[in-house]
Amino acid sequence: MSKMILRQLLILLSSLVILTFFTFGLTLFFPIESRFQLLDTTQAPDGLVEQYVSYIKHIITGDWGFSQSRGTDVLKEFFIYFPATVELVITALLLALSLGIPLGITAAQNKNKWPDKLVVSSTLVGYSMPIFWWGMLLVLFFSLSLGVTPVASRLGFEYDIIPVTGFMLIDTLLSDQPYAIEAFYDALHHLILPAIVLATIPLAIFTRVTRSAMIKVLASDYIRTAKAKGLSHGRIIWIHALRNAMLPILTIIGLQISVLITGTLITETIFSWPGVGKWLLEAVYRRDFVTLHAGLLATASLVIMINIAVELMSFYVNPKMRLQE
Amino acid sequence: MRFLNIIVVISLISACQYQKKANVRDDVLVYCSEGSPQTFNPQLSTSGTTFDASSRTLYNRLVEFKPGSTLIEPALATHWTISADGKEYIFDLRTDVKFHTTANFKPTRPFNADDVLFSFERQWQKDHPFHNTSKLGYRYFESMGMGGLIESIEKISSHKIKFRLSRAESPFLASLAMDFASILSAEYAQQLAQQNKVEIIDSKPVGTGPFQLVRYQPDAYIRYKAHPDYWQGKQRLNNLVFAITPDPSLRFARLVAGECDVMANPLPVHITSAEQFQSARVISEAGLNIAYLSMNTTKPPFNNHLVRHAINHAINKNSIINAVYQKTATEAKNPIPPNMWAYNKSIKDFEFSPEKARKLLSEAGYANGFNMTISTMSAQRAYNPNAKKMAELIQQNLRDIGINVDIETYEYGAFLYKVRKGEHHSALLGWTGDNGDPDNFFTPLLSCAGTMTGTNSSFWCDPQFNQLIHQARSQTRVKSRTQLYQQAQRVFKQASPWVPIAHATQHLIINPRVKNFAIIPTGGVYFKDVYLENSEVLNDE
Amino acid sequence: MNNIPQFYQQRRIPSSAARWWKNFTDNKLATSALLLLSLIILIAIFSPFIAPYDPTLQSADYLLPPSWYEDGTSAHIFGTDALGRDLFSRLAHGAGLSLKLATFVVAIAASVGIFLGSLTALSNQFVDQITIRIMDLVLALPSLLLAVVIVAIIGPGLPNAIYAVAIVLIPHFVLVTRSAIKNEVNKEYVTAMILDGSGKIRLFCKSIFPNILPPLIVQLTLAFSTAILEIAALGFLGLGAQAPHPEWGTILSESHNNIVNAPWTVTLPGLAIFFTLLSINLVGDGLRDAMDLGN
Repeated sequence: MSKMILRQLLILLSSLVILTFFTFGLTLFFPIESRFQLLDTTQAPDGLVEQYVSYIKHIITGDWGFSQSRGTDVLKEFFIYFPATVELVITALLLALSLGIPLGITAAQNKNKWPDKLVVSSTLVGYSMPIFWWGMLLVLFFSLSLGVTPVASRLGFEYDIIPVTGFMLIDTLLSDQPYAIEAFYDALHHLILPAIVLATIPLAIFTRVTRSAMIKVLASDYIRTAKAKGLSHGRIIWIHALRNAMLPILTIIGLQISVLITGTLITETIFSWPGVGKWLLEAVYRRDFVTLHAGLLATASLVIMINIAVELMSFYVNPKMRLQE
Repeated sequence: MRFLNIIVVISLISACQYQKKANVRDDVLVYCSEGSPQTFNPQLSTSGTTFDASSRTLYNRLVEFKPGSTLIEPALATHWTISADGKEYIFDLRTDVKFHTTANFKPTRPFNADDVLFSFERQWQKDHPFHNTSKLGYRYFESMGMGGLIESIEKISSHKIKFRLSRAESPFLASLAMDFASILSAEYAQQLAQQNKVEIIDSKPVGTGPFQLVRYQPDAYIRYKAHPDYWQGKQRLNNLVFAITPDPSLRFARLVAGECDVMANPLPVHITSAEQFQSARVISEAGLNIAYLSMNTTKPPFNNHLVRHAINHAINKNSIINAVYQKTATEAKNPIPPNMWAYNKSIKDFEFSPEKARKLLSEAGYANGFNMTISTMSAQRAYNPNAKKMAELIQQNLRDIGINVDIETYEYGAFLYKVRKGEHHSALLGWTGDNGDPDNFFTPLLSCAGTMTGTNSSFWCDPQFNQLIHQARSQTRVKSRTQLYQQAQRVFKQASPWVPIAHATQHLIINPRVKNFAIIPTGGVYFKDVYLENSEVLNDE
Repeated sequence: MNNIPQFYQQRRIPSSAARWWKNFTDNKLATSALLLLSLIILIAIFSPFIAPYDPTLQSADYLLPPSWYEDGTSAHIFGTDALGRDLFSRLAHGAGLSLKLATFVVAIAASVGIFLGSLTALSNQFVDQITIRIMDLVLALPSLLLAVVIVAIIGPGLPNAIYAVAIVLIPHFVLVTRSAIKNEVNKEYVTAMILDGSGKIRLFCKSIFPNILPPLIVQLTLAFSTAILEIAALGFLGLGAQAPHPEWGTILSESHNNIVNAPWTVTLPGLAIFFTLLSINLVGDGLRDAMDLGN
């Protein structure tokens, strides 16, 4: 086990180093004044190696520069926008998993019958959805025609909630205002449409992966044995089969994180959701390279760390892998 | 697992069905604004978005514009005297003005001359301890030439202050009513210096204005509450929120859905479709603005006035007004709007005529046309709701006379940066007057000094024109100024460094429950004395 | 031929391509998707002849509704946009533009990716591991974010957006090619070829490459739909094609402003993107199934 952790830590470290090579390479194309914020201007190092060392020093000490258009510390700014994105991504992920796994199982159990065909073709529809258009359609229908969902943002402005954690669902509950519970429901209400839009593509993928994993597992000998032993149908599916189908699902969750983050760029723009994606796009429009650099580096390192964490988790889940060590 | 699903589904359904209680909403006015402010210190910015969020809500000035006009009225100064040579201004200050009490600051004294001194010296003196606290710089103060104009500022007594100018300048009083002349607290600055927290002076503001800042989440919202000790009495409106919504269609959608009460910069299509919705009411006011195509006269072929005349002939302003402004604007022929006293009505505009344009082009030696670039911005401004669309219409007009146009679109800040440096070939620009004086158009946009700072985007520097506007600035009599400006407009028309396109009518869309709200001709929104009718939000559908 | 007596029980073994085709056409959904896709491709190719108007020609008829609306006209079947341009002509030309761009992007990404992938697979362990690390890393980065950053650096506009999307697609091809080759290299027929004294290049071109085609074809269709989607997304965010290009994403972002009063200017371009993506994905899925069965 510890050997495995060590190995993963090494991979993590090497990936992060490669990442800094990459982002450092990008800074070479930045305008000179943005670039100098990430280097030691006083010493003005000339060789690329010296510049890289100076760059790494800045990154490690947390000095990621100041936004050119706002004059604020970009790393601090990142953490202001970050919780909103996390809240949205986690909600979308839960939504996609909680619908995708049962749908995938249902399809697998009815392989090649109509429920399976229906599920498989709907996943293709979901997978082909241009989400910027999908988001607009949902707003057009649910918010403007029916008026059942809010149009944008995280919370109605009538509620004054002090940001403690930055997670609206938690902050509303922590609030000592008389309307705290009401505000919590309002925050949930605001999450519905953006989460649906963001969850669309991952939902399609989780469903497909679950389906194919389950089909494989259901055809295996031990399931037949379990059936022969007379175990209940639900028990076989939910306890025995699902546990073994979990591994590919877990792997795909790791890969979907980057799809979700790609989605936040668009979803946050459509719903005026004050998260990292919107922050970065605004930075592109302002040509604010320092902010852009910080956003890319922070997001990418995060995605790498999540992937490593998923790797470790799948190791923990899979007894075969544990035995190998 | 199945239980988990059920819980998720139930909570989603309950969230869908849950209805808002109206009473909390009744006490909050939500303004859907177009962007995040750069800072809460108006001295550091030139952007209207920043002024809306700072000078117009949080601060006061010595003198201010009378709401809805460009007349000056007393504010923090009760009255003032101007010396006979026009160089000395003495202001008597109010004694009963209290600053905001915030989490960071509790004022111990009312407003006095030290605050005025601090607010101006910070911008003016390069060695002032607070001069360099922000990286943004005092662009408005500098571009107005205040540093050279002000000779001294002297505190005569605790509530009396004297400005001495290096020359007589008639627009000076109007300048003091402008946003950059807002008064900050000297006591707060001093306290921050002691606590070693000077950097928060511009982000955690303290002013004397009708509202005070409660909380700001960048790109999300700004929350204000009424200043309890406001010198004109506490506002009837208790809570004010700026919901930052850069996308205009989203702003309109939110207004229609009742999420906002006032919407910034509506598009013309929103104005025409607003009447279908009960929660939307359009209010309009002739704007103090101009939109124009500026041709960079330092770059060929725009150094040839025949080419500039040809382009003036080739552009169909009427179709622009229909398609871009949806008829909510008037055609422009002069560099200032018709609601300004110096406007020259007698000038004849170039009529729309592709034939004449082609003839002029061949006269200029460009019978086969040429290639040009129009730079535009993606942002939408009060004077131009859709610069991209305008550029496309012009592109087609010019194609008809053989000119091939490339359109480049930039974000607002990047666009201005490029234009200021003179990197553009031609650009779609505009201007909204900030103080109602014609000089506020002529000097920045067309003077030779403007070519140095880049606000004169055509880089057109004509000695005769420059002399005329310089004379007009130092005169005080409106009649003689008018004559000079009218002559200047003739010179302008002759040379035509621009194609003046349109004067946009200003529009805002508000919810009918918002009362006492007015559009200011100089642009921007003011929530002072605005209140909400105490009724439930009207719902559509 | 037929009158020759048959001594052995003869079974003609169909070529593998014929087998795929048979499997593919058995799948009705995939076949109809292929028909739809062919229709879109035809429209794209012949858009200059089909489109009744110049896609950038403006007219005074702003925001005319489509012909099936009460006040629509048959002169503009899909209505007009905010500048009075015929929406059908814009979408038809947009189809041409989108497919052309996507083809171009996929061609760049595939040739670079397959080349790098083959190189990696056939080189030593060390180079292989390093390449894998780097490709994994690029894959872990959110693709649109990466494209957005690249566009921010080299400036918005169509050519730059294309490079950005192509760069983002390369790693997929590298990894697919590499793993497909690794799969094949240890098979017996390759060993046989080596024993026959076949050279490295000949070995690769003649025997390995034809066998890694199936996964590559599936990857190509996937990349094709991703390319269309990402180019449209960049256009929608204002970083890709610029007005007045009739690119689908750019059309959508322009018409976004009219969502309340002219919803068809939003729904129709979206449907065009959606059906194109759907048909490509269905065909891709059908191909994969056909090949799985074939093996």
